[in-house]
Amino acid sequence: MTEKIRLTTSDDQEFIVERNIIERSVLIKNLLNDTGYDEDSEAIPLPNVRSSVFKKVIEWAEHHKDTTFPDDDDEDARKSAPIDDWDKDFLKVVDQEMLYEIILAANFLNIRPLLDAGCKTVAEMIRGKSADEIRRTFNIVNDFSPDEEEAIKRENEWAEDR
Amino acid sequence: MSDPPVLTETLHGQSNDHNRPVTLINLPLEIILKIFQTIDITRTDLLQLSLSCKYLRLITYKFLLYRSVKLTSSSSLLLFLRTINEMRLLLPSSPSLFHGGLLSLVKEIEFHCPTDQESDEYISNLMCDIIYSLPNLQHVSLCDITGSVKLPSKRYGYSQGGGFKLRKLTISARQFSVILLRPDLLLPFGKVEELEIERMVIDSKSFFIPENKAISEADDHDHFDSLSTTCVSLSNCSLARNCCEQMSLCFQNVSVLKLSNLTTYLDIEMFLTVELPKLSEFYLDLNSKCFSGYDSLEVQNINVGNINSNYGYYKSRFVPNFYLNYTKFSFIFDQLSEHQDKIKKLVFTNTSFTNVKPITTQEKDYTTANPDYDLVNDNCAKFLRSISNFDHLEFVMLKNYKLHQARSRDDWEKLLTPCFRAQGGDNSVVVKDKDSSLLYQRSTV
Repeated sequence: MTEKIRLTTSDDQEFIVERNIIERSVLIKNLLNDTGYDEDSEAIPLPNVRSSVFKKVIEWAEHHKDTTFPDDDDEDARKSAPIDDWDKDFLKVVDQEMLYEIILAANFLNIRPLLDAGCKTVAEMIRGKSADEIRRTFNIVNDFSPDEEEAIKRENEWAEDR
Repeated sequence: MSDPPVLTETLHGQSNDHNRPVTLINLPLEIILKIFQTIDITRTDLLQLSLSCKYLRLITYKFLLYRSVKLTSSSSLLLFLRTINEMRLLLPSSPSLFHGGLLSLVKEIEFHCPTDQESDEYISNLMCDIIYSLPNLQHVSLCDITGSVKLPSKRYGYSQGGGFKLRKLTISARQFSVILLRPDLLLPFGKVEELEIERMVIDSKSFFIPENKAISEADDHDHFDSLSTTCVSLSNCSLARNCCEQMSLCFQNVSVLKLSNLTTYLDIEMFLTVELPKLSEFYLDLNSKCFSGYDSLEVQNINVGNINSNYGYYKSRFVPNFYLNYTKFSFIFDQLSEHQDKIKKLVFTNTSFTNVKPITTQEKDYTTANPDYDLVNDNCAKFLRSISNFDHLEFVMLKNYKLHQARSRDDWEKLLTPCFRAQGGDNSVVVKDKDSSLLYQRSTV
């Protein structure tokens, strides 16, 4: 029978997850191996993750329980790998705040493939946009004066030249 | 222009505020950088991000746009120089990160000699003016150099004040061309820790010979100080026969020599004759063209006498050509082994052991008459045996090995046994994957 692991999120919601699924998180995997978790052990606290976010993380981990990802150490392979179609759809339907919280949870739980997919999704939202469009997309307040904007454009002209 | 927010304070304040909704700009800095460094984000995107708000401008400038600057045309050189000069004017009155401080952000600069109509002298002067203006430069790359490029003899080291060292200087000739290395290319640089040269011929006129050590030790020297260099990396470079003595005089303090993309193994022979008194680490690229080429005569020879030595058979097994051709250049490794007392660490880069197997038969019984004889396995064992007396051996794989062929620790042990030192204490043998992760390490007593 598959071992079940109990975890508690920051809003005191308890989750029971199959060990092979939660072990997508390197943090939890190491914790389980180091502490010898058994059914009598206390639930593992996740103080940085809300239940709604953790549900999404588990959904992702369940889908990818048998997926082989590029080696964690192989930065080049990970950077160049395109976002998996399922991940793209999975992250497209969540709102921006949830997307950032999934990224933060993936970072905290050390789930590199989910972190990579989240960061690439945000990068795609930036790509090809003007400063104005970036501000609108990410709700950023323009704190430059028109003169400052002109000065920045001028000082970076070298970088526009190809 | 008003000062930007201070990065540490901004991050500190935001990371402690759990009630604030999570947005792009209050993500932790490491996450923002991870997003901005994904392959999808271009330099144009970074420019737009820097224009969106002061905080993102601070991040993009400090960690991305101005950390490593790449200039590929004469107009980009001019525009960058204009930015530098304007920053310099602002420096005394506004010592914030973005004014005088911006110049200090640049750690690496890469120039690509343009193919446009501007004269080489004009471009060279622009490059030097830029280099002199950046106080914290660690790595300068001069790429796509042509034979006519000469840098003015201004002293970069001097402009930085006494004791300054450039960590790395890279000079590479334009692709598909090989040019003579001349002191003009090195002149503006004072002390350089690592010198990397690509696609060049080194001859007796490539370096100024230092007159005596006292000059080098003084801070005020008026040309490239080869005595300050401790690491030399040469890729696709040749050494003229008449320059060994000069190289020895110039690079008396070189402890690391890296040779890659060699076109002829005779170059290795030449490099081995250069007397480098402090040499202790030697890197050799086993995927160099000189090890993988073959001619029709060799193919015929390989075909003679033994069905196992059929050239086509070996090609179909995807075994590395290095082992197929080994007898042709085995004398190089014999010569290399003569340096075993001096070279403490011998590193083979771009190594491949694809489909190479250990020999289980006794060495004396393993001849072409043996029905199990395999030329590639035999040559691999011979190669490993020839280097068995070095203290520290390291093999860095050509491809990401883990993704291709799995060997257990025991498999590695059997394959590498010929390079284990039999007498005089165990030597250290390490195999690393292309990404530097450890595949095998010999346990020594």
